[in-house]
Amino acid sequence: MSPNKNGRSLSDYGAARIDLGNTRKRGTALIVASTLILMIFAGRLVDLQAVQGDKLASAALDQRLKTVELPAERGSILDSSGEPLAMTVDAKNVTADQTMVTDPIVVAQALSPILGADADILAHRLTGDRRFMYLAKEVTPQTWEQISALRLPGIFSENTSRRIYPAGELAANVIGFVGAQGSGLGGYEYAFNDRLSGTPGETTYERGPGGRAIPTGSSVRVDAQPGVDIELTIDRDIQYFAQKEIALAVQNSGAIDGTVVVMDPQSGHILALATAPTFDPNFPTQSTQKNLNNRPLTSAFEPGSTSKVMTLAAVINEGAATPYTPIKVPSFLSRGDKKFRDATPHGNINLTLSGVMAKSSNIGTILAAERIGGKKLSKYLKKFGVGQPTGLGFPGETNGFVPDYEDWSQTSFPTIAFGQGLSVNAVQVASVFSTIANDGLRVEPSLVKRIVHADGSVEEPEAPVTTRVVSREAAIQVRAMLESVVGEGGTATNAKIPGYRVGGKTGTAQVVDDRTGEYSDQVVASFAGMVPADDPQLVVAVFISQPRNGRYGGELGGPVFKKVAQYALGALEIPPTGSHAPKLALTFGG
Amino acid sequence: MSAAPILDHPLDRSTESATEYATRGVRKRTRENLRLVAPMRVRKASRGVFVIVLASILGVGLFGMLLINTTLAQGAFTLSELRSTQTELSRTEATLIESVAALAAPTVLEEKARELGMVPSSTPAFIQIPSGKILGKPKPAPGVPRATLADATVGEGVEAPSSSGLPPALGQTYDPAAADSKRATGEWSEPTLINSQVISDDLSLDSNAVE
Repeated sequence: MSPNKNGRSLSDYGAARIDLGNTRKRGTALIVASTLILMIFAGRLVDLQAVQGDKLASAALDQRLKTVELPAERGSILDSSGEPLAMTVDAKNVTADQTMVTDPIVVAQALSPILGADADILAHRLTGDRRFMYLAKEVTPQTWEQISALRLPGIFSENTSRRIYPAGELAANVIGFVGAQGSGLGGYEYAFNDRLSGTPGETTYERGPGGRAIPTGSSVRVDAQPGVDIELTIDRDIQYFAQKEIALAVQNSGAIDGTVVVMDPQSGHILALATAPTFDPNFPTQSTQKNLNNRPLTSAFEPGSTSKVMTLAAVINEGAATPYTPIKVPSFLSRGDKKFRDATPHGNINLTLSGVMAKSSNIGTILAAERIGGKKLSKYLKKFGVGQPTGLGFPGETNGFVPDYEDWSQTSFPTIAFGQGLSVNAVQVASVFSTIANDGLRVEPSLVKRIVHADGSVEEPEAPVTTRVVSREAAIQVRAMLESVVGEGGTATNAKIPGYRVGGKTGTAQVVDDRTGEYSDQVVASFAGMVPADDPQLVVAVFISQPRNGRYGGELGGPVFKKVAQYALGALEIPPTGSHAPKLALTFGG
Repeated sequence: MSAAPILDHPLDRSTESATEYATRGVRKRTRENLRLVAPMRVRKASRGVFVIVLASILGVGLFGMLLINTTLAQGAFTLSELRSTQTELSRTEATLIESVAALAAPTVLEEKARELGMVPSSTPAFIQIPSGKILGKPKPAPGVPRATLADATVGEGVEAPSSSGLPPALGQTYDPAAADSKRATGEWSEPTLINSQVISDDLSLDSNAVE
């Protein structure tokens, strides 16, 4: 600070000095000022990067990340040859952005013939301010191509999938159906829904403001696990034929419903499970509720005379009688407070046990059953599988009902012996006959042959449970008696198949009226049989409920058995054994 | 410069001029480190070559970029074409799979077979090879009227199967009309029990009639 002319400097005048006149001091002041400002920046930087860094980075990442679910492809349901009965195909949802639709009426007119929808309803859905509106769901890709070719503004599509049943009503009662969400609502679509659905995957990726994926951003992908394919034991040709024949029989007899079960007695595989009336799984809502069930498994009924097979098999197995044993059959039998009769009045007749089976005599059956007693009979019934879980996994499956032996009244035993007073489902009856066909060894019935994963690996089900019910010798004798049912003097001569040995049993079981709780005049007409009788490969059981034209198991069930069995023999290429049926005497004495 | 003596730490700066103050260091250096250095010879490249080299680098670079961009663009076109072809083909495949599955439905097969004039076979019979022995009882297949599954389950009227549809067992054929008329006139009588050649009655009926 140079003093001025007077020898005084500014500080003498009392002023504080920031001496900028000096370069050096200017430089220093600038450096200090810059440092201060930079320190503020640095502090903020440290704060953002170090202190809040992680939090901010993850917040930003969250903003960028988008997770999209990858839907899993639903597995198919196949028949025994691997052909699809239920499958999923690509479809499109047609959507509209209402704000982009300039003229809803014109667009609606253009879309109406392609979508098959009312133009007014479409126009209504096209008007408004919503950016996303469904116009049609699950249309075929071809339909969408037609629409997109029109190049209508504001009309877009969304990829989706559709469940189709290419064979229509074939085995509909077994397959079931799906709901709008694509998950099963009935049948095996429902029972196996988890396995059919698979597991959806997801992909998470970073996206920029335009919605596009950032190529170098992080992305994680968990692939969807497709559902498994379920291969049934159902043979589509036999199923088709059986469905056709039972539908015709129900129609012609004016019955309320009918069922056919076709089984392979040695493996327990159910080759056909047909019922009428049934439904088309492509349009489940067009059917009444009760037709959506798997009637052969959900409907319980009193079996009637087909049950005599169990009683007489038990009697023979216990050694209490043989097919030649004479039985004096009176015109009626008093047991407890009831008098039991045969349907056709007769005096005292002399039948052999074979005759009792062939003529289906109630009294003869009661007398034979009394040789072993109720306790033993109830044990055999259990072993034959009636009143027990059928184990096929259907929603609403019934076990049927057999009262415990302890609860039997004096009239229970005779009634149950000839097949009333207990209830069964159709598959259980078929299984009883399969047991006799399989030399007395019961094989648990099954509908699922195997499960195929998307990668091609195969899952075989566990081996079915087998139960020794009667001995092989007893089964052979029972089969011989069954052959006389279709022979001369039997109740089912129209079940015969030319060239083959056939054995079976008719049933005309009374039905309880739900309102009165009493037996009504209505019946379930049935016939269950096996062929070839000396080495059975096939069991066919037919049930016709409450027919109005015709009444008897032999009359109504026999012809359906014959047609279905004949077809199945040809389809499975089962040759006749070439031997002849034994001629068992049905009566004895002079 | 003044003739004042030079010290490392001049004690009195007040007499120094600004210039003297500023050049203090230089004077000190030049004092101590004077020596002779050979002059450097600087060679300058000709300007023309320099320009050409630069220009060619630039040219090559630009050309390379052009090439890469063109290739990328072409690749992008091909990619997008292939993608749309793939979508087309996938769609066609899905449609075909669906069509095949629908055509393989037994109802359709039966219709097509009947259109060709085929009829369902009746009793199966087998020829044993090589003996030529025939197993079973072969019969010509009867012509059966058209009745498919669709007709039956939808509930529309279906022609009753002709009598050849039911086996003529022992001279008895099921005739619904006759049965109905019998019921109406009260003539319905249950068949007899023994030695019956007709469809025998099943004896399990009316079993719970109580007296």
